[in-house]
Amino acid sequence: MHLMLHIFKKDLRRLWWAVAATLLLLAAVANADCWRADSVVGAAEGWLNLLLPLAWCCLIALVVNEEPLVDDREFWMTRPYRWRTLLGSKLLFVAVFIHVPLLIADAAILGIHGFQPLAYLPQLLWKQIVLAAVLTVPAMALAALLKNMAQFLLAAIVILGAAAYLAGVAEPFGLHWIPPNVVRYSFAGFVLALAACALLPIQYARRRTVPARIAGTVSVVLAGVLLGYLPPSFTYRILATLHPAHAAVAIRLTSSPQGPDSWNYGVAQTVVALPLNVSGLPGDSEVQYGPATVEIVGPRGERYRTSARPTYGNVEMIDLDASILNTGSPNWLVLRLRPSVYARIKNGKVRVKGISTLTFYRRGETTWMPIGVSQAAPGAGHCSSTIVESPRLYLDAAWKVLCESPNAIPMPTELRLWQPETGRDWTQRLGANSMANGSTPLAAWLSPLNRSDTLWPLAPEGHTILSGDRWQMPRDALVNAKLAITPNETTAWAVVDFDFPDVTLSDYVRPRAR
Amino acid sequence: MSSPLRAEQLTKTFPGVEALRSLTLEVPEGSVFALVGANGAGKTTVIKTLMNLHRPTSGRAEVLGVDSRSLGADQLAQIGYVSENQKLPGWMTVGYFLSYCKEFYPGWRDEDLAELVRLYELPLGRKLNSLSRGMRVKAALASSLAYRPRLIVLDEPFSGLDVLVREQLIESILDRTPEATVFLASHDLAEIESFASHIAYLNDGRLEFMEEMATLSDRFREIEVTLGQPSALPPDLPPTWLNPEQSGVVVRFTDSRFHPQRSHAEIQQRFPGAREVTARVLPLRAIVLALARSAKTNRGAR
Repeated sequence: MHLMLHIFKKDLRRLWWAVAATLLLLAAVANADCWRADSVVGAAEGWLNLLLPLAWCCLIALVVNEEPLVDDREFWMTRPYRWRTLLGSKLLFVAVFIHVPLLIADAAILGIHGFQPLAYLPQLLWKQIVLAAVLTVPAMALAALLKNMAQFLLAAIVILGAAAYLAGVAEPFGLHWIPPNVVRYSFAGFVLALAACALLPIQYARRRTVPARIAGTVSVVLAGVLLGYLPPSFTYRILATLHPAHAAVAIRLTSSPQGPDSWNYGVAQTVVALPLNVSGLPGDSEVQYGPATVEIVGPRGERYRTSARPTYGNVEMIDLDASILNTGSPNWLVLRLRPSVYARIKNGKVRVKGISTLTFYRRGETTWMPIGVSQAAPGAGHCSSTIVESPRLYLDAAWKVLCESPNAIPMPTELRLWQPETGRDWTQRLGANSMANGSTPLAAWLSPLNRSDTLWPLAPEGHTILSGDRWQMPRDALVNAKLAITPNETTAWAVVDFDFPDVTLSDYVRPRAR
Repeated sequence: MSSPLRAEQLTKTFPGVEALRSLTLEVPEGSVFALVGANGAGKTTVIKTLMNLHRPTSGRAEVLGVDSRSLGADQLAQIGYVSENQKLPGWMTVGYFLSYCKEFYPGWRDEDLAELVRLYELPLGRKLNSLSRGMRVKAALASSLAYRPRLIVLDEPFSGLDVLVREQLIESILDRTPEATVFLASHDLAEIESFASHIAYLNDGRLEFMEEMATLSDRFREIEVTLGQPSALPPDLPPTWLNPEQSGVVVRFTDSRFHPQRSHAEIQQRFPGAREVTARVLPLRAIVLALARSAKTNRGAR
């Protein structure tokens, strides 16, 4: 311990300026987070949220490279260092100057936002573990395998760039926080953390750089494959195993009523809609359909499959895309086929088989609150509402409801504005229209608070609101109105297989969009 | 007498290069053992392998009774290692560097350090990276001698230093013997000759010889034979006669197994009409040169 502190003090003496820089950045991030009352992160805070982890990585590389493990000319290698002492001093440095300050900053942010930090200690400690697993320990392992700062930065940029690309491949719509994607990130993070936790002590104890580099590269590639290419059906199966629905859900093809004619996808694809009867759903739950995986086996045995990942962009290049449309009874399996594929198989008997993913949720407790106050809403954290002028480029004014919580805010959480005098009400889902816009990295990765908000556009003074207009709301609607917040608690997940033989697609084809 | 350094069939291969070839050596305790050889002969590889900075490809080495691959803090606390290309923490002042090193060595003696600082005239307040090479070597050596190591390992420590500094450093190292064993690699033969007790010659990764300095000086002689009349060199010259050459009636060679009576008899047998035979003591440099030339000739013949 004495030598561990001795090395620690030496590193601090050497790197005090880098420590000071990261602490300043952390203070800036925490300050911005303290004063933010919006789910959308400002450009400065967004960049700070990227810069701070990068600065931490640099600090880690600097402290590890105070005693480089790769070169054979370093003076310390022939001095009586014990590897456990050396590694311990580096871990202590990272803990004291990265993890502890972040924990303090998180506790301060929670306190300032009205949350008792001690009550959320498990969440704060879990965040520390996640930070160690996906950032600090892997960064230490990377630095331990490379010769100098230049190599470290190059490798870190390549790995982070690849991770950003693969995250985009896996989830093009930016829904990184939803549980199926969290499963994907968890798998990738677990592989990365496991490899880092194994390689770090091995490298300190043995300094076998070449095999360690090979093992590290294999781990990074494996984590990348899991991140980018783990099929949604697999992640849903994991969730279904952890939170089973305990219901015998079955999906069958039903008789064919006419579906709505207004399905207009605006793309050069042929739309086929198969009416579905979904039975065995738990009575006390709502259901939401996730990605569907479908395979069509044509009359001559030809097979067309949906992509394993969500598709976007140039859909004309895709043979087959599928989703389940939840319109009550019946539901619809909507198949979008490339016209040439459809022409090939439209009149023969085809087999349509696949997998549907389902999320079950239950309505939680409704909290009523007056307008303009901040109040705890069980399940949704602390919620408040206020009128904001020009909140987004396209809005003059809006009434904003913001909920923030150290826990995940359930999606969807329903909001209802009710004016007792007129009996009118307006409903929204929390987070429904708070999409960020801009080209900066607008994400507060490091915040201990989850925030979600919704904007109700307010009509300009004197503007007449047409009956049935749900888009705009008159300002006087807020007078004496009440806000109801109902979080929906996800209760279970399910993966349901279906198999429809002898389907003639032309019987179900929808009119082409005009 | 036990051996603080021992290597058996030590081989080290880098991609495309066999840097060490079945090296076997034993360093007697208390000796000043010099490993000599040309640049690229493998001296640094030997030292780095012994110090566990490289892992041997095959064979094994023992340092202070421990396999070199298991060399740990307990052994390193008894070894003083200084290398010409060692990277010191240049940001540290000399004073902080020495006080930083002190904590790692239970046997550290402040009075020894004070003496070394005085002797080397070390500027304690200056940063290591602002010092001359000679001063940096002195600082490294001071940090490696202050705990009275059992084994001092030096890799070309004096190259590029001026004569006065060399003498100063050599003197302070020799002060540590015979309590400490000194193992050093150098290509400066004149310098080695002045203080080494044992010598090993490394050529192209292979150990050509290893023996006490005194024995080496005794067994090498440059022989000059003046013949009565010109005649060709006999074909069956002993293999211990290195680099034989003839110029008119004069034949010269290096006898690597010189013994007054036996060598005289062998010369009389090969050159019965010799008019005069002279045997000259060789300096270390000439011995090593003779060995190197002989090895080169033999390789050419193969």
